[in-house]
Amino acid sequence: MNSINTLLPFASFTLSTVFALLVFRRYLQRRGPHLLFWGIGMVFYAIGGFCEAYYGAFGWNVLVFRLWYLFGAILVAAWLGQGTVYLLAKRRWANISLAVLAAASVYAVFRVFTAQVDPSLMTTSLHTGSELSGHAIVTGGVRTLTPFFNLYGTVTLVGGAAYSAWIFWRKRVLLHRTIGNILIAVGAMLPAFGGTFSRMGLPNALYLGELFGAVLMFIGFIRATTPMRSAQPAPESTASVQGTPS
Amino acid sequence: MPERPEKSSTRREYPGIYEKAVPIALGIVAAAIAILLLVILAVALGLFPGS
Repeated sequence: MNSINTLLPFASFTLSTVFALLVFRRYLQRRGPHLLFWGIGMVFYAIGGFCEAYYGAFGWNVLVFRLWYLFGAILVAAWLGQGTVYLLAKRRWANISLAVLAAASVYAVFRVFTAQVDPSLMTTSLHTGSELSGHAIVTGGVRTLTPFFNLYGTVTLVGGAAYSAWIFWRKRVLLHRTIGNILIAVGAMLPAFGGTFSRMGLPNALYLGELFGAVLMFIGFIRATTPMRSAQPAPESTASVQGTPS
Repeated sequence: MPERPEKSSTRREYPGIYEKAVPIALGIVAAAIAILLLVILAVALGLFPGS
């Protein structure tokens, strides 16, 4: 048992569970569908972290692996992004994209749970096998699903947060939401970069990316939903700039 | 005929450091998104190490 590969994902699991509960509470208060899907996405994030922690503590379990790959590797980014689609897009397009995502997710469930797996394949020249890895999947075409879901998640979640921040900045309004969305965009990218560095053989990169990603998204969410008491932009008058009492 | 009073500017600005930091942060985020999209494409095409 490698304690760092248990503690890091367990911390991600704990934080993302708390995050999910806060988002669901806000959904119950405000009923925005974007909050519902963000909450669902954070539940998937938590499931992924739990599975990683379980593997670190107890070793290989085929069900845990399948749950990790389905929720943590394939679905999480896309479903978080779906929340942003409901926030930014017209309702009709959001519903259409939801239908497509739901159908694709059902297909992913089928493919992941019918795939042949071999845990020995997680150990390669670049991987010690101490972190979960999609290399354990033997059946062709299953891992090919992941980039499509992640592409959708990157464009919608990360792109949507960056776009929101840019709109607020351009209008110089709601500074707290500008900052919050920037933090969310950066946080949403960290697990993907962590996975990339993990593929290159950097130890613990994936789990560190997931943890810091959850931290930044959490801080960003709190920041975006909490107006700043000071440092809000105010109209600037020419008279005051020129030194004339306004 | 009385002179019209000068209209004051209503241009908004973020406070101090945010006026500088926010566009820099947005630029970094945009670059990171581009890199991430390239990585996803490389993984999908099997070009990435460890794929």
